[in-house]
Amino acid sequence: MSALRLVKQEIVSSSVSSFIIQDCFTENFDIYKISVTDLMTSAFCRLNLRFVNSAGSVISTGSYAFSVAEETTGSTADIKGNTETAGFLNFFGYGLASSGTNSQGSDSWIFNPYQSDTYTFGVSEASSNGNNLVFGKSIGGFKVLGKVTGIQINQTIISGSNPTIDSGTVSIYGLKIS
Amino acid sequence: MPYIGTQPNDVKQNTGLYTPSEILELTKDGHWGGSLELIKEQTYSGSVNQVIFDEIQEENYNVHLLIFEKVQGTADNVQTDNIQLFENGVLETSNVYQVAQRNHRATGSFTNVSRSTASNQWNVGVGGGNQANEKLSGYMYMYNAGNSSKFTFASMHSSMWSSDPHMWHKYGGLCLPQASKVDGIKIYVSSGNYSSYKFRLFGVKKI
Repeated sequence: MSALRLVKQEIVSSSVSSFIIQDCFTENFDIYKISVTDLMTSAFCRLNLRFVNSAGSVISTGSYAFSVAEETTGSTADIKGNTETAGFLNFFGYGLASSGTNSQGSDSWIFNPYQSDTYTFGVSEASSNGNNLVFGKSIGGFKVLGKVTGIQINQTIISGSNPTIDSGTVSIYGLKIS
Repeated sequence: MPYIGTQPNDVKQNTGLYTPSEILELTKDGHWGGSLELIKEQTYSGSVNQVIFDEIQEENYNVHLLIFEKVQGTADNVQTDNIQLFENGVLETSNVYQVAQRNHRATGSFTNVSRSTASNQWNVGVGGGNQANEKLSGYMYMYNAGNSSKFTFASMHSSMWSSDPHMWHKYGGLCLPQASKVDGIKIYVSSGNYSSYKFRLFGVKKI
């Protein structure tokens, strides 16, 4: 197993509804770590993951299966899941307005994205701090054979007007098994 | 600069030789060397009831990784993995820590949650035992320690052979909801001393 190597870093500095990090997955590595810090949004929303294929297209079909278990400091816990949906929902937790002490952080791992003969899998844990601490632990499977070369991070509105992603840092690291 | 053996992981093509200018370029781009940078390692060498990381380089990293290995105390069924943080050199011991965690036991017969908005500490395990192999290992990612305008928070996952004795795991989120600069970490056992531990603190490289 190789050392963890920084492959790409993306800093969000303008408001977008989603953004793509292209060509972060290559034949050089088998496993990837995605560290997302303080990905702040204009309103409360979910932060989701989709993949980009080798043609450069975001895959938005219902080819994703995911499950996320959430814990809060309050009295509630939640489990979400879907076997045929258009992304890994809440893979990076929740986006919060970039004010005050609001913050977000997540640590995610993607397995075998560049191997065309196996599905791409992911695991993630994410924390978001607004009025309350929300923690989520996710698994995801992307049920398409073929090379995945990049990611899209998008948001899903929870209530109110359509949010934008305004700031944050995404760092992608690679590991080589052999 | 020659290197020995295969090195297939470089993000830039190379012919097997690194020139000084290439090293400088890779270093500047952040691609030279590993991306988990060891800040400090502390290994059991005698009876103590606490371990302190007091130079966590919070100015250099916004994400820290703390790895726990083979953690065990001398007393039975005690928390061996309590954490309190230093803010500007002052240890926060008040009931201000938040936790949102879930525990599972291998028997399948038990699961519970650890939830609080008024805890005096974080912890990353359940009651540890003092018999052979009743030890804990796990990790914790901590965010924004050096950012005095943000809360410091963390996610963690651990597994342990507890005092039951059964296999447990625990995962969840942790937060110190105070806008402050965190510059130190105290790990301590609730009762007695440590009989085993290895703690390693890393900074996650950023450009």
